[in-house]
Amino acid sequence: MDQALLLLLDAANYVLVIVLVAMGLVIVFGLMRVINMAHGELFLLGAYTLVMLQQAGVSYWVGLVAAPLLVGGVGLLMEELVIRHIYHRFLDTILATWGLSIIIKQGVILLFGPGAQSTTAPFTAQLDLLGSSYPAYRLFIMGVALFVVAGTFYLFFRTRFGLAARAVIANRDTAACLGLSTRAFDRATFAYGAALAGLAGAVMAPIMSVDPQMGLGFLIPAFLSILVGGAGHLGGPVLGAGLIGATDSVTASLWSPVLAQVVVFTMAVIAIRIFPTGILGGGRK
Amino acid sequence: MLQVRGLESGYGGSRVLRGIDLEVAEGESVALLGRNGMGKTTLLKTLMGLLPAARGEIRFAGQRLDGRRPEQVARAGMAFVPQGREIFAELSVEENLLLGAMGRGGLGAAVPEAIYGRFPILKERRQQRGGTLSGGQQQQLAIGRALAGKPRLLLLDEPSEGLQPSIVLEVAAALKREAAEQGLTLITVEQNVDLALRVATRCLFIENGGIVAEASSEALRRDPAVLHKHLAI
Repeated sequence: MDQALLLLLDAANYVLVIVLVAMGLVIVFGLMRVINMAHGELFLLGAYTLVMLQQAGVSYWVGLVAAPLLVGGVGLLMEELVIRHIYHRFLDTILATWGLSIIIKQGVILLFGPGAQSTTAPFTAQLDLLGSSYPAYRLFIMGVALFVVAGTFYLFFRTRFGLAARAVIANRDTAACLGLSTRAFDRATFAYGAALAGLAGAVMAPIMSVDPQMGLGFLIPAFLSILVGGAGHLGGPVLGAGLIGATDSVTASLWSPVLAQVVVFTMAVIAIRIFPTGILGGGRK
Repeated sequence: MLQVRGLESGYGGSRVLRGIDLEVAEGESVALLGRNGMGKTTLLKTLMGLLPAARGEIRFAGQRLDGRRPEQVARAGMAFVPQGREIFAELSVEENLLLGAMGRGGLGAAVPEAIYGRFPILKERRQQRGGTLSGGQQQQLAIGRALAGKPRLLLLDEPSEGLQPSIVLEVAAALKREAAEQGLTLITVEQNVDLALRVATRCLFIENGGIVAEASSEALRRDPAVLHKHLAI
């Protein structure tokens, strides 16, 4: 019984972090039709921001706030210097963001070396949950992720900013003709999507080994979640990450991580076969 | 209020507009007539900044607007009701109107109450999704949304398209009243000559990307020969 609870918590943990990563991807794709291949490296930058700050003796909490801000700033730069010039050329954006991902990854290797770095969690207490002990920090990760996911939904569905952003997503030309600055929304949402990835990287860093390849481990399940859940709605990545993340972590802990990969990909293929634009649909034609 | 000189534009390499000269005074209502493919929609889209002007200039309320983006044109006081209406189908009527107000008024803007006065059906259906409205109601919503930004010049592309004749009359009446009461300037592209003559005081005929003739609506009503010549009806 307690084994099942731990498994459930670990799965929820993984799912929530994938949602954070996938949401950033979906927002950027929805608004600009750009598939950001460098999104995993933004996650990486979030983790290394924490590494850097902790090595400099700064507290974890400062790092947790600084990571999304800094990575959001990097997103803003990426958008301004590269993406905005090519955002209507779909294939080129994939190549360009892939190039950016290589630059970021190699930059990190130059600065920190190829090896793994470690960061420390702000607290290491174990909580007693129905008789089994569970790291409090993992619960904290879930709390942060839940809060940010809920906040993102609030931002997009309950505020004027979100209303305008959804209008730009639904029909760019019409929104522009009303006087809404599509450029400003491109910038803001790209930075926001990047900041989500940066936050996910920073919050996950203490429980994993921080190395230059870590971004990929989150980018792939995030992409799969979007393909399965659908890119047309913010709920798509939530549903997709729930299915992908839960299947992955349950299979991995009951059998093996290798089998988990097989099961997840098989499931994704079947889901995409049945729902070509994702379970919640791809939105715009 | 609007001066256009030697305006050329088109799609990709092909030039649709070949030197348009146009002058519209404040408060005037002008109709652009012409057969399909002559450049009427292209002209409106170029004025609005949706298509780049390849050559020529657009002056509006003392500002140069050629080369500006649509949002800048909109903020200068021009509004566009596109062909097919392009309302946000997933958003409510009220949200559609709100977006029109927010485009020029900022995120805190409110829907002017006058819009609901002008189109009472929109008030009745304010919580309904835009996509569930009938064609005529969608047209009213598209016009209301454009008016919510309090524009000085309204560009309408085929407002009568796909509407029943009775609703066309209603739309024409609402536009006329708006123009008369608010001093709004109108440029209407129309296939429906009846609506054009009702709304506009002056009609311009576009052929092969240039303005080839113009006449007052009154003269056209008395002597439709010009209409027959340019529209082949």
